[in-house]
Amino acid sequence: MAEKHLDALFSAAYDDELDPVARRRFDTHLEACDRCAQGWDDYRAALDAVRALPAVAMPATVRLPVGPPQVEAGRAALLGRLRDALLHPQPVWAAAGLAAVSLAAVILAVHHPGGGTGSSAPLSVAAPGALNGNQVPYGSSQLAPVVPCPVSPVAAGAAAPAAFAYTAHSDATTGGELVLATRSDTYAPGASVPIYARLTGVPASAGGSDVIPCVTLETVGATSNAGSVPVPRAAPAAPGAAAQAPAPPADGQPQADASTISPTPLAVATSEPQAFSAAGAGAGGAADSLKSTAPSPLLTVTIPPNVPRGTVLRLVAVIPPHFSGNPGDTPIRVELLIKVS
Amino acid sequence: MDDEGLLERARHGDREAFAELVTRHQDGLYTMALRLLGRPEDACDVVQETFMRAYINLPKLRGSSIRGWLYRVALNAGHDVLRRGVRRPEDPLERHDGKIIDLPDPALGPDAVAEGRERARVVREALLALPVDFREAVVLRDVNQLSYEEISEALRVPLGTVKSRLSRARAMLAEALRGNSALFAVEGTH
Repeated sequence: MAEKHLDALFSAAYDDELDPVARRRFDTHLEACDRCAQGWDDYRAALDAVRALPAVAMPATVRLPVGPPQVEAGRAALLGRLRDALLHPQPVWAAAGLAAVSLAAVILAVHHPGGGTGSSAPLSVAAPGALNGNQVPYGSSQLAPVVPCPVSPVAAGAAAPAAFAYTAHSDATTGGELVLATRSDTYAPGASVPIYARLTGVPASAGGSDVIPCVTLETVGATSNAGSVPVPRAAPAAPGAAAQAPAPPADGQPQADASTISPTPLAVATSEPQAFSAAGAGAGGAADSLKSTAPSPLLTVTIPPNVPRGTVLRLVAVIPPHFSGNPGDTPIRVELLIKVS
Repeated sequence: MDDEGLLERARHGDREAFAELVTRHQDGLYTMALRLLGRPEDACDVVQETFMRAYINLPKLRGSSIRGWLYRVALNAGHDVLRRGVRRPEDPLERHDGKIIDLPDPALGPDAVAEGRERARVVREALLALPVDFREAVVLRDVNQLSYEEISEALRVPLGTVKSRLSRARAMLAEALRGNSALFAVEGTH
């Protein structure tokens, strides 16, 4: 009767997964087999003890990000790329990457876009250390780049404030016009760069109100998006700029085309609502409509202090396809080159 | 409202709905991470990271069991902790294992309470001694009481693999605890 022991059935028996016939045979066998009976008692005792371990309450408050998921995904991806740049730096950019990581951590900690509706209060502030963008699982292998922050409509008008004389406009055929402007095309290492960035004139039928894009500061030599080719008012290329660009892969593999090359962001710009209020001349009632938590078209990014003089950097503003204000299939993208001098 | 309803609302931007999902699942996830990793600090990191990743991926989540999916995210985060290897140093001022939800029966005497603690310690150590794959299976089933289907979702393995892995894990665990039979006497026989 007890010719074959039943250890292999213990797990299913413990979970009551045996069908009635099998269960009767199991119980009958235990009546006749001391070895299996003892083994079954030990088995049950062990698993009962595991199940008796107490449940434990999470002892800390879970901190959630303040922005909508798309925005947080972009930030997480950016932080991931920054961390990759730090852990696997291109030789020339090692020092700059190190500075950028600390800089971006600060920026991301304080950058609170208004979010999709601007009506929901943040549950808490995300700890930068908790972001782990390059390991975001499940779903597409690559998250969208930093995405813009839709805000309530502000006064129309694509023109940047007068002081922002160094300006680039996107192709206006998409219905909206993305404007990116700085006060100068030359900044010192460590300098704070005021930026005007805004998508205006989007028809309501296109799902758009005005949109403030997130602007990233990138190294020259990597292009982040296919689609609309930016029409920057070109800054003079610095001598040696090509040498500052990331080197081609050391393994001799051909480089990917521009649409697949990941950018090397150094920082992301933060909004400055107060600055906009002060500098809002020419924008009509725009300043009044931008309350403290709303993103402003006036942004600031800081050039990492360790970037060598003579380097050319790229400011990039992108509205991804199908995002608010961009119903098309291609990103709206505009960029400015600035020289570190 | 059930989890799926909350998930749908959260997907459409309802932050309170997502907060409710956090409230519902944070303790279970923390308990799982604590039993898998053994360190409260690591378990806290895993839970924080799990909800961050879940939030970021809300727009892409379609038709999944939220519980199985959350545990899958948490397991991945736990793998990252294990892979990093470098553990955060413990701060004695932050030494908190979390509030025990299932307190001992107050009718138990001090000897019984002490024995219960010793039994729990032995079980925790036996769990941590299991290979990671087996440890995950037995923790998900016997600590968190996930269904086979949810475990399959969490581990991303077929149901048959769940059952075989669980069977082997439990057998190893029972064998490891057999030497402490005095602590694990069953009431009555089979």
